[in-house]
Amino acid sequence: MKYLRVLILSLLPVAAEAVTIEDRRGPQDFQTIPQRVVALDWTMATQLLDLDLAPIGAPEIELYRDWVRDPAMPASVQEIGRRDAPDLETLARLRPDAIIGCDRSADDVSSLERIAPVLVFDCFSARHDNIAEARRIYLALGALFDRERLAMERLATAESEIAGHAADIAPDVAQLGTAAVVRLNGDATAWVYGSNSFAEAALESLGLSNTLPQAASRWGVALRPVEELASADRGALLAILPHQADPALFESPLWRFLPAVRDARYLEVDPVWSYGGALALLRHVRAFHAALSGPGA
Amino acid sequence: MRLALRIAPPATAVLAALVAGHLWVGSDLPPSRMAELLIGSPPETFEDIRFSHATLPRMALALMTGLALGLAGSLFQQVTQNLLASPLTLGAASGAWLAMVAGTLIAPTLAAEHGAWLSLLGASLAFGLVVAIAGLRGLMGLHAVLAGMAVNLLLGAVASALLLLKSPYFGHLFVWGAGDLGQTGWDRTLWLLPRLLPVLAIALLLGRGLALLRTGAAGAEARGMTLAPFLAIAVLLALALTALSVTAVGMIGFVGLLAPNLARLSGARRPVEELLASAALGGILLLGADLIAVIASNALPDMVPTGAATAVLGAPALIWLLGRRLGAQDHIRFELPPGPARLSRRTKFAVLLAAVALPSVAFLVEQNPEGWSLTLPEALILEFRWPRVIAAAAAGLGMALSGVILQRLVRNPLASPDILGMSSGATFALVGAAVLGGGSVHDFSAGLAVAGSLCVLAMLLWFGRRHGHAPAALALIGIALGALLDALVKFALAAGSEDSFAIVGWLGGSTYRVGPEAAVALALSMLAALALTFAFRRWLTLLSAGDTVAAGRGLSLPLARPASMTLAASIAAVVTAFLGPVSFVGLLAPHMAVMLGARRVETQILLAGVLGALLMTCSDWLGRMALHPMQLPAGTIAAVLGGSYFVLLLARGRILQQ
Repeated sequence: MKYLRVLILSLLPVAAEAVTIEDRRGPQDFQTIPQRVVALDWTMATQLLDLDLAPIGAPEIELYRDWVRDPAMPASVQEIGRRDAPDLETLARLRPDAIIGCDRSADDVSSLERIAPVLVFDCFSARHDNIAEARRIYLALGALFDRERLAMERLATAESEIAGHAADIAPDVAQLGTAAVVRLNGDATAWVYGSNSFAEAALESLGLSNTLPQAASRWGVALRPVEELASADRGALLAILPHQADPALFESPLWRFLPAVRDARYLEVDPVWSYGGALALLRHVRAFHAALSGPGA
Repeated sequence: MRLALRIAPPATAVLAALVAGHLWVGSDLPPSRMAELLIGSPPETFEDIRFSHATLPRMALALMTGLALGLAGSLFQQVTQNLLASPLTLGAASGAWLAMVAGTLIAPTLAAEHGAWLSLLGASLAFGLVVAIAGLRGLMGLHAVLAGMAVNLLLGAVASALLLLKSPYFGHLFVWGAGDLGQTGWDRTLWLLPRLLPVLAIALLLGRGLALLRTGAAGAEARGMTLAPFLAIAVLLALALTALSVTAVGMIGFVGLLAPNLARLSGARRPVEELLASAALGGILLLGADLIAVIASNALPDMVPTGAATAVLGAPALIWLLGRRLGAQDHIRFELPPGPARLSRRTKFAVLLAAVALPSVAFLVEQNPEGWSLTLPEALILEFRWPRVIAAAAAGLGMALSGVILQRLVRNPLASPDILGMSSGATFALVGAAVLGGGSVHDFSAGLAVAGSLCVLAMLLWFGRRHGHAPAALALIGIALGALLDALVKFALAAGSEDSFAIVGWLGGSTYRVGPEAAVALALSMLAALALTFAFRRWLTLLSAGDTVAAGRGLSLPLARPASMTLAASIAAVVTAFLGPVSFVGLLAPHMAVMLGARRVETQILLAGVLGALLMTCSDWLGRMALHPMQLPAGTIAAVLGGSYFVLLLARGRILQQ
């Protein structure tokens, strides 16, 4: 009896903080709030940074600073190697209390679990809505780190800011009606954003429909010949920087004759990362708004 | 001329049909408007521009590039007297491509301005390496193609290491690497044309020399022809054509290999006839493949690069075409590379020392954020380390065994499981499932890899049976599979997604995903393979002595050949299922063993096994630690080390004895 009381007492403070998070495999129990967290990919890194948490380790940080930029990766974060093969020895040395990642295979998860408890989420899949899933994961992480309120606030603020952007450019939108989002690539191809991408969701929240719809896929993007951009016969054609296009493309007759270019409906968008976390939607809306109401528009 | 009269009508008809197809698919304009635009009416709508600045230049470029590749292939084949010679199989195309990739990553402006010279340099270096490995006389046979495949693997490994470290944000490189003919104007075409014409003109002047060459090198010299400068000019022209086509549109395989063979099939006899017919057929082939690529691009969510279409068409065509012409007449005796007659005491001691030192280094020497150190790792880190060391050693042992068996079976010291397509089957199954199923290559099981290997083995056995398991037939399947696989991978890469990145990583052959149980399973199965190979030792000795000797000693060839082939392929399949494709180890380890003096089969099996295990242990350690925490695949490092070993051999003048 005495022992039982001791046992219950010893459990109490822990039980008060215990939290259960639903990941791909089902409910995962955490007895305490993890302090030292490793993000296995850029998507999860942005989700954590958007909760004002700095991971202790993340992959390919140098490239992150080139491509993602916002949210900024603090200098304290340690490099853990390639994002498809993070170095397990480095992870073990970091002594994390939790490892968080997207779409890892079951075998990878079981080796990671020897280091620390793992949360693995299905972030990108053709079978679900990537954007809704990003929100759900963001809230789940908020619950794990006892920052649920912050997460809710951030999402609410984002929503009202998005509504503000939408209201702000409503006159332009009424005129345009539609837009398409692409990344130019090489001298004759372009990635076109379609269903299941943050880019298309951002267009929709601004009240624009996608002029170049693509079937839903895992990443929400398709590689197409550049001449297909001619189908964007109305509305804005938004190209996300940095260009990977040959400068020659912009000189070519084909480019100059593209309806969107000829009618000056072609606009460039400041760099924004297409595979971020829940707040990526807001970042896309901001970037699109800036482009649509900028000097080029 | 009679040939021209016979070939021209059907060729023109096919060409007209393909052009009509391109116009049908690539433009919505009515034919009357097309005609107006052609005679100079100014374009008004985007459809007009699309016709005159996308569809037309695309067709022109397809014809010109195909012509260049067909001509290059014909020159290579006539100079080397080798049916399997081509820009791709002799390493020239991958050399050009790697030079462009490295140039674009390191000095983008230079690559943009002087791309053609850069790729000519790359093509020449790669071809030079092939010549050096195979020897000048070796260019006439299987040697050259095997050496070319080895060089392709090496350059491919270097390119994929660059890509892994530079990440997938060079998407345009991938599209171009897959050979895309999409055009947005006439620039490329107008760049290519003035460079192509003089090369073409000079090539046609080589007819008399090529005719003399057919009488054999000795005969040509007896008639007062100085061979060296003539050969140099012919080869340089072929390399220039390869470099031009790679610079203009990227990597297009098979056209240079198929066109000359089709030309001969349709009756081209004299050298100039063969050159002209190959050029014409090359143009038609590429135009046709491009039409398929355009149609597939319209039907699929992602664009299909032209290079992928050429391989999908070309591989089966090649097998069918050459399968009809390969005889079982193959009386090569297996020539061991030079080396001492027996293992010296010093060699034994050195190998023993390495066998203790290298694994210790792999376990104890590490690079961490503080720098290099020699430490006994803590339990958890050791738990991640030992399976990788064991798996690397076991994989190296297995690939070496597979290599010993194949080199004796094919009777060629340049044969190896990766070059003959033994690992391609497994790779093909996994990458294919990932590409078609739209998942990650890591989601699939080892079972699928083994199933893929077994399919290839069945194909090899069936195909081999028709040709008495002639080595050339084996090499051919290897080449066809390798190129098909390459096209599939490039198609996946062109999409430029995260999934493609995972595929590049897996193709390097890495121990990263081998857990403790898998490592033990792999080690045990490789030890079993060692015992089995040992049991085959008498067969292997007889097989490498030549068919007549073997049959005279009472060896049943119809039984021994498929049995040893099955053993070699199964070993390679198991390794590939656990690590992904591991190249070069199966080629190098048996070779090194012989050069150290292991001339009898028993000693070669043992020593090659030990050397293979050590080579992989060392490669894996370098891959884990050299750029810590960035992990490089062990197979990639092994290929780079292997390539360097060849270059070192060449530098010391130890070229294969013919």
